[in-house]
Amino acid sequence: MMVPASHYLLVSAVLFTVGIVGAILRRDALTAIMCVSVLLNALTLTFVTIARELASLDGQVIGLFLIAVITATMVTGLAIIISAVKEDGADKPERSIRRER
Amino acid sequence: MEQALFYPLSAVILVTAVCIVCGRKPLYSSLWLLVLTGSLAGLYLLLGAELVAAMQMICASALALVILIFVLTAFRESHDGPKFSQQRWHVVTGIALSFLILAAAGFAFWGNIVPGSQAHQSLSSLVMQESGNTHAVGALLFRRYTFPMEVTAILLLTALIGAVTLVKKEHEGKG
Repeated sequence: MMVPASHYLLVSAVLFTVGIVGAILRRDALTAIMCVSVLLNALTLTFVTIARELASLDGQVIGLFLIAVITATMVTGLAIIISAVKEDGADKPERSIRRER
Repeated sequence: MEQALFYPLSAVILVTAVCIVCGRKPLYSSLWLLVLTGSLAGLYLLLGAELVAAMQMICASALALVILIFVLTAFRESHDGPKFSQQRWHVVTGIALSFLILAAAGFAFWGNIVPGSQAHQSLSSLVMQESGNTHAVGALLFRRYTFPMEVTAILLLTALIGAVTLVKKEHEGKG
């Protein structure tokens, strides 16, 4: 028996919520980046679910593009963290990135 | 079959997502991210998207591993990355936003906004082709989505060059 698409979408919505809450609430930059990755993964799950619902492969193609976007995001974010840590010195990583008030 | 796999997998996904957010150290969060990407690949397989599942395993899991190695090497003593300062309005906004999104999701779930599908049959016939749907997705990629695919290639190349430039500049500045 097939699982209804609404269950997949509910999982995706909860995953998106957890991701966005983590991206806002977490203080360390690495975990924030991982939360953004969780958030984008939830989007991919939505697209693939909708692709099955509409019996169209376009959603899967967009899911592939989204995975590429996740990769680009994470690579750039990690590079920014590396450059920020190097700027302040690796011995004091906790002081390197501050959000402006 | 699908039900027997879907509910355990989604339970694993939700628990690991919460563990990523609540994890005390980025080291553990990256391990949980590895589990989460693998379980999501399982969900994509259940949805009949083999190519997306394979790409998820290759790209996203590799990225989780890269973060793990990065945490292990760059922050050797504390396993702790750089930190943002946190204001009270961050917390308030986060909690309000989470309630808003969950309310919208619940409304869509119980209000039956998601349309029921009559079209499973045609996709399952697509999926049950000899080579799975990878052939069909590839044909779609190279026919209808050629331009977006090229743009994605440029995006990845730009991210690569940007990452190298960001890291290299610091080296030159120090040297």
